[in-house]
Formats: sequence, C-alpha cells, structure tokens
Amino acid sequence: MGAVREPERCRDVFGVLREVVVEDVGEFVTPGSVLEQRLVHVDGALFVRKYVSRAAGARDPRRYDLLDREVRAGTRLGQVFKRLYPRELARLAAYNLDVEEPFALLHAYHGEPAIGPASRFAEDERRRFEQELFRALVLTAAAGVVHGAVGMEAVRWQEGRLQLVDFEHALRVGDPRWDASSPDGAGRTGARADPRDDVWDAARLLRRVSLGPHADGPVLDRARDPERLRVLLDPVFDNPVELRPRAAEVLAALRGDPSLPPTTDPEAGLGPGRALFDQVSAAKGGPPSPPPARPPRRGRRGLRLFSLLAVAVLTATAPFGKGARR
Amino acid sequence: MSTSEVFVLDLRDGADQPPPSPSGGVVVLDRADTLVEHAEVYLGLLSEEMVTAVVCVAVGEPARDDGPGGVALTAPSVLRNAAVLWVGDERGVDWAPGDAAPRPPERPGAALEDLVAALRVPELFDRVVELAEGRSVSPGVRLVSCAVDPAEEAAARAAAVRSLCADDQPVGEDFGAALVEAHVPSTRDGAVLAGRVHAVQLDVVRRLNHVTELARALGTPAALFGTRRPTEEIGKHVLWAGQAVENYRQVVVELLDRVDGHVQIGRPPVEDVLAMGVSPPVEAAGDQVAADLRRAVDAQLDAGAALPALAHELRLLSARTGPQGCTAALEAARLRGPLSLEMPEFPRWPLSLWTLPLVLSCCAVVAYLLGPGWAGWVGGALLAACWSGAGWLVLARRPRAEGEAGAVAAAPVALATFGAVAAVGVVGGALGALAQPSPFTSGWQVQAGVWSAALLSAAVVVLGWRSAVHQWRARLRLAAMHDAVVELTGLAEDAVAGQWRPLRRRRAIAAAADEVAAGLEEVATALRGAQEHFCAVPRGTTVDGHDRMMRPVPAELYAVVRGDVVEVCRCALEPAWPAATSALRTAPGVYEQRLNRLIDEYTGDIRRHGLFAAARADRDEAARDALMARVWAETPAAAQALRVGAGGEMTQLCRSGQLRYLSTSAEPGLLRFAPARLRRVVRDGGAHQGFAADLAVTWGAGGELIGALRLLPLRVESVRHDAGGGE
Repeated sequence: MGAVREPERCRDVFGVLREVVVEDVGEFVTPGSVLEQRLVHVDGALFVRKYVSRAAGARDPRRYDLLDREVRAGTRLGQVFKRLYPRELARLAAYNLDVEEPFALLHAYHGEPAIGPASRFAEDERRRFEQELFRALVLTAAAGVVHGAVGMEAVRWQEGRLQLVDFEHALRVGDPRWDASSPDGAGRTGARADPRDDVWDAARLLRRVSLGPHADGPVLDRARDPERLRVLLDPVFDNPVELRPRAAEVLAALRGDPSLPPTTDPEAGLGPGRALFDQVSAAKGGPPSPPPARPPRRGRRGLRLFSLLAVAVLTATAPFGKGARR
Repeated sequence: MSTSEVFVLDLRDGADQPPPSPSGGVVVLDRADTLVEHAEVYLGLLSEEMVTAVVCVAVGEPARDDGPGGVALTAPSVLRNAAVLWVGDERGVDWAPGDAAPRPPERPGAALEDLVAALRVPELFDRVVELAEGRSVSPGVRLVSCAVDPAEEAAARAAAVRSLCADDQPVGEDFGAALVEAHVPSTRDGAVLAGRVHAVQLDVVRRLNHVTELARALGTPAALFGTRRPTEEIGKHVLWAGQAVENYRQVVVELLDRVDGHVQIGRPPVEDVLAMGVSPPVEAAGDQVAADLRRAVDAQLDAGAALPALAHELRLLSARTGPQGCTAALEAARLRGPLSLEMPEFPRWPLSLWTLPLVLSCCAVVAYLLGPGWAGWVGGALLAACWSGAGWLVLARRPRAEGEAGAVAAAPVALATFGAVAAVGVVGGALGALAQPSPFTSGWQVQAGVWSAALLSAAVVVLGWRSAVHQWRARLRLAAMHDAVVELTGLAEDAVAGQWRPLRRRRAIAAAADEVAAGLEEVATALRGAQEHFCAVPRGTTVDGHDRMMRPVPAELYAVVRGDVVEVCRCALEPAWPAATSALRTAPGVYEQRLNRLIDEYTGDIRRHGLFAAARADRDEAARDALMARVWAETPAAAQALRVGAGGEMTQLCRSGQLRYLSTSAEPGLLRFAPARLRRVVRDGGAHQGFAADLAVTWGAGGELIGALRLLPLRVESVRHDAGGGE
C-alpha cells in the first residue's frame, strides 16, 4: 500500500500562503510533546507534522493552545533568524491553524532524545552539552521567546550537537504566565514570562546530567553538589528571576560560544504601517483618547506652595484686621 | 582414579544420545529389557579413556522371556565388570533385610530421581562403583533432601531483587573518600609556582620589601642628612610596587584563566598553561583507580547497598572528584583588582605648627637669661637660627610622589614661620632683659636654663619628624599589598594543587565512576526487567513431594540468595573495570546482555546442582553454612537417615514380589552420605558432632541429599549375561 499523499494549504513563518503535498511516512514520538506527531515528506524533505486530531481536540481542548504556542514561538524564531537559522532550535516550516485538524510542519529534528545518551556522557560530552544548552537559551532569549519547558525531554542530542525542540509551552517574553502551561512552577517567580525562567530549568537539567536522575527530585538537595556546579548554579537557584543570571552569563562562565547569528527585528518593518494606522485613525476621529496625563508634579508643588503662602499671609494679617476693627 | 564430574545419560525411550566425547563418571539410565540392545553404547562408554567408570541403572521388569525362571536381569557381557543397579520398581517398598513383611513406601515419590541425584555426587559415585563394580545390585535408599523450598527461594530472590533495585536506600556519604584521598591529595605538593608567575611574584615581593626598607629609613638621620636619602626616591618606588602588585594580579588571573579554560573546555592547550610556570599534571594510574573503585563498590554491595543508590553515589563521586575548574578563584582574582599602592601624603608640617609657641618661648628664654647685652642677642639668635634651619630641613626633606619638596621651595615657608617666630622670641627676650634683668645671677642657673631650652628644642625637632614619619607609614598600605600578594598566590597555588596537578587523576576517577555508574544503572534496569522470570517458582517443584506451608523467608536463605544475586550483578558489571582502567566506554546494552545470560546460567546451575552447590557460592560460604545449619536443625529426619544401618528399613527399589531375586547370603553394601558443608556445620557445634568424625560417612562436595544407600546384590542366578551385543 503506497503512502498517502495529500495537498495541504498552509502558511510559512512569514504568513505567506502556500500549498504543499504532504506524504505520510510514519509515527513519530518525542518525550517532550503532548501533541500527536507524524513524520512526513514534503518535496522529498523530511518534516515533523504536529497536529491536533479531531478526537484528541475534543478530548483535550488544551492541545489547541499547545499547538498555538508552538506556532507562535516557531514563527517568531523563524522571523528573527530568517535564513541563518540556528541548528540548536527546532525550526518551524509552515502551519495552518484554520482547519479542522490544525497542524504545524517542522523541519526534521536532529539526533535522538538526549535522555538516552545523557546517562553515558563522558566528561567532555557533558561540558559540550552544557554549552550547547545555554547557547540554545541565548538564542531563544535573543528572539524574545521563553521555551517554558526546558528539560531532558525537550532536548535532542547528536554527536556533540544539541537541539531544543517542542515549544508547546513557549511564551513571548513579557507575556503573562499561563500557569497551567508550566510543567513546574518552581523558578517562575514573576508575573510575566522572562527568559530567565528557562535558565532555572536549564540549571536543573544541568544538575541532572552531571549527577544523574536521582539528583532531580521534587526538592533539590544541593548540599552535596560539587564545587563547579555550586559556583555555576547557586546564583541561578538562589535568586528570584529578576536577579538571576541570564543565559549569556552562564554561557560565558561555561566558556561557550557567545556569538549570535544575524537577527532581524520583525517589529521593525511594521513601523510605517503602524504610523499610517495612527494617521488614518486620527483622520477618522482617532482611537479612543487616552486618559489625560497626570499634571506635572511641579504644578502640584506650586499649588501647595501657593496655598501655604496664602494661609501664612492670612494668619499674619489677622491681628491687624482685628486691631483695625477695634 | 577419583571422578570429578558425573554425567547422566538417559537411554530410556531414546531420551538421550551418548555424548560425542564423554568424560568422568557416567550414570546410564536404561530400561531393564533394553540393556542388551544398548550393548554398543555401553561398550563405547567403557572403552572411552576419559570415562572413569560407568554405573548402569536398569529400570523396570525383566524381559518376559527371562521370567519366571528366576532371572531378574539380562545384561550384556560388556557390563559384566561394571556396576549395575537394578531398579525393579521406581516406587519401591519399605523393607529391611530379614523383615519378611515389606510395606508400601511411607513417602512415595521420586526415589529413583533421588538415587540418580545422589549418584551425581562424584564422591558417592566413586563409592558406589567401589562397592558394586562387577555386580548387579538392588539399591535401597533412605534419603532426606536439604534442598530449599523453591517457593521460598523464589520469594527470597524477589526480595533480593527488590532490595537491589530500591531507589531509597542511601549509601554512606563517605563513599569514595578513601579513593579520592589516595589519588587526589589535599596537600599543596607540586603547587610551587615557577617561571613567569614566580618571576613576577619575586619582583613584587622585592619591590614591596624595598619600599618597606625605605619607609623604615625615613625615621633615621640618613633621611635628613644622608647623600642618598630615602625621601628622594620612596615616592616612585611606592608607585612601582603598586604597579608590580597589579601586574602580579594580572599574571595570576592569566594563569587561572588558562587553567580553568583547559580544565573546562580543553583550551588553551597544556603547553600554554605550562608556559605560565606550573608543573605538568601528574600521571593517572588508571588500573589503580579502577582497582580501588572496585574495592569500594564491592564493599558497598556487600554492605547491602542498592544498585541505583550506588550508581547515584558514583555519579556524585564523579561530579565532585572530576575537574572542577577554578572559576571561583578566577572571579575572586578578577574582583581583587585593579590593585595599586597609593603614596600617602606626608604631613604638611613635619614640625607641627603647635611647636611655634615653644619656639617663641625657647628663643625668648635664652635671650632673656643671657641678656641684657650682646650675649643675649647672640644666644637667642643662634637658637632662632637652629629652629629656622630645622624647620627648613624637615620641610625640604618632606617626601612626595615625585620626590622631595626641595630646599628652595621650603626656605621661604620655614623663614616665614619658624624664623619669624624665633626672631620675635629673641627680640622679646632681649628687650625683657633690658627692662628687667634676670633674677638668676649665678652662672650655673643661667647655663641650666639655656641648655634646657636648647635640648628641649632639639628633642622636639627629632620627635616631631619621627612622629610625622610614623603617621605617614601608618597610611602606607604595604600590609594590604602583602596580603593581596599572599591571597593571589594562595588562589594560584590552590588552583594548581587542587585542579591542575591532579587533573588527569581527577579525570580518571570521574571516567571510571561514570562508567561503573552507567553499568550499575543498566544492570539495575535489566534486573528489574528480568524479575518476572528470574523470581518465578519453577513449575511442579515441591520439596519432599509436598508443598510446605508458606512462611516469611528465613533470614539465612535471604542472605544466600541476595549474595548470589549480588554476585550475578557483580559478574555482569565485569566489563566496567577494564573500561574504567582505560577510561573507555562500554557499548550500551553490554551489561544488560551479560546480566540476562548470567541469570540464565545461574538459574540453570541452581536447577541442576541446588542452591548449596551453585557455582557462585564462592563468596558466601558463611551464609550457606548458616542456611545449612538451619535446614539441618529443621530436618530431624536427616540425622535419622544418617544413622540407619545396612539392616535398617529403607525404600528398596523393587516390588515386594521381586525381593526374591535379592541375595540373602551376600553382605549388603552400605553408603551413608551427606554434603561436605553439613560436616562443617555439625563439626562446629550441636548434638551431632559425632557425624563429622564418622569415617563411614561419605561427604560429597555437592548435592543436597542426606541419607543412606544400601546395595543388596542380586542372586547369582537372577542375573544372566548375554554373550551377544558388545562381546
């Protein structure tokens, strides 16, 4: 029986509508994904198709949100890094969320889930893993994306190369947290998503890789951590998110490659359009006017001084007034 | 020739085929009516040089054409000189020679199986051959098994596997401490810095010491009157010393950076680190590390540690002992800078202005005492000149960063202050003497007054300068610079001694611990996976023909089984040690494969030889002895079986009607036997110590049967030797 080939309409990361022929290859599973996945061929290349089937969506509507997050993160990363897309991050190719069974097409992942080889890392591989992990976080932070579920299940490994995948819990930096999306609330102390949320998760993962799965219990007992981990990770674990070191700082301590590929600000191109919108809005009466600005503090202070002066003058002149009446 | 191994060949119904190259003793199970047919087989076995002896166990009725004329057994002639045990009936009858009334066996069961099991014990096999060689005999047995209940054994195995795979069994926190201490010494041996770092360190120490010497010399007369005065050069030396300290800090930072970089990511190369003047890392003795680690792991396993917990400890050991880098030291050294030695300002007035009233007074007193007249004027002027000169001198010698203040610059200031005040004092004293002459008229009184004023002036000048020097020295941060140097040296030496020098040893320990941890994790996972079939009760296995009542697993049995399972795991882990020695990784799945194979071997071994004689019993003799003692104590029938005589009641392996084939005149052979382990147990104590010294008891190295075997010869006329077949 030949593989099923179906034409699909979808949009690339820039929103351009395309039609592709998708040929199903087989089942695909990653430990960090809740969504259903298939391996597919598109134009001879291998892709991962993440989707929400009708039945799964009816059973668990939360999956639509997960796919939405994957697509939002993927488009953002794709727009920021464009052609020189870093291999450390899963790459979204296309998506369609407006169909009955919404899906996202991602370029085939590298390697295998790190959970297998990580238990047999030699020292140099472990160091490499650490650097690659924090480099991936430097890249997501540069794109303004918070992965939200960095862990052993979300990383893949192949010959010294790491890839961060499964952005199903991802948020844009500054988005309000969606607690239900967080697999682990620890380390997330702010109200809004911060790239340093991922640093905390990565620090946990780093401990696990160094000390084994036993070290990654629900409560972190760091009393017997080796000196190297304490120096490196104490600032991460001991500080709230605002004071926590950034991924780039940890990467520097790990002596990793700090260079970034060229990035583009996707918002920059929207400037003229937004200006035009404001102009048109103003011509039509404008959008609802913002509340009046608070009066400057200087004016308020002047009013207070004037009132004080007036009271003083009145008090001083009161006896003369009385004397005059006498 | 004693037999070392006994092989059982079952020719009944064609169950077995003769092995291609048999060796040792051979027990042949055959049907009584097919002995002659198998003559070729017997001939083959008996002619084999590696076969020490053949015992034929002929089972069943004689051929129809043999009876009822009194022939019980027709054997081929080739067996004429072999031992033939005729088992007329597998159930047998309970009977004692001389007792005319045989009874059905009390414990009908596997008497034949027990007999064959007993014959598997080489010592017993040899004795049977000795007693029955060239004869056909009817065996009577009285056997008690000391085998462990398979259900209990399975329960013990399950408990042992659970214990070994438990996640919550902590291991002692000092695990690996001795190993680390032996291979990564905590001393600073070899940490002495050399080369560039040492040169810079020497330079900074020399410069700081020079500044110290100059500062000390400031308080001496040489500072004021010498030709090479310290006041001239101390400023620039202080500056240079500060720069040297900062230079040293930068060199130490560079050293730490290189060490940390190499340890963390292998860059820069070793040569670049060595170029900083440190000794090369000491070599690692991989075999010694592996041997020490093995001892530590074995000790933990023997102490009851669970595999996952031990693996976790090994991971911790790897992480804690592996190269840590010196990031903290590097950060500390970076934060220490930039270092500099400030030149503190020397007191603006080395002779305090508070001395001016004293100057005035002294000059006035001298002029007054010596006046009126020219003596007063001259004496006062001399003292005034001294005061002015002293003031000018200390102001001129005042050290600054760029050198002394200088005589020219100091002269107007000295004249304007000390000179002017002294002049006023002289004029005042002289005029006072004119107005009212001194009441001190005697010479000694005047001299005493003058000298007192002069000496007081001199003392004030000297003390004033020294006080200024002391104040200045107190503000000079030489001690802080020394401390900084000591601290930086300590950081560098700690990094070199703790991280750089033992780098290879740390790596060797970490790699070995990682490998063994990975092996233990794989073994634990495989053991969990194999638990179902490893811990299953073999089908149809009962002890003594009936099921025992379930009870908690005896501690002795648990100890033996756990020891065996640990030993299996230990063997499965075997490839870890060569890998640990060479810091190479074993391919994934190797440990799992080995464990599964070893489990199969172990269960097969137990099935064939029993728990007491299993091949992996070499490490836990004491545990097995304890179990044997318990079984012996719980089985009084075993002692009775060992006491039975040749005329005692046994299960004779024939039917009551076949007893007539047995000779009543020939002396029966009697073998009493037990496992050698039992001999050790009874010898060590208890009420049955006599057994241990009983020479008539055959102590077998293996087997789990205790009891007696009676070999009653068949009547001569009951045995016919067929001339055909193998003849």
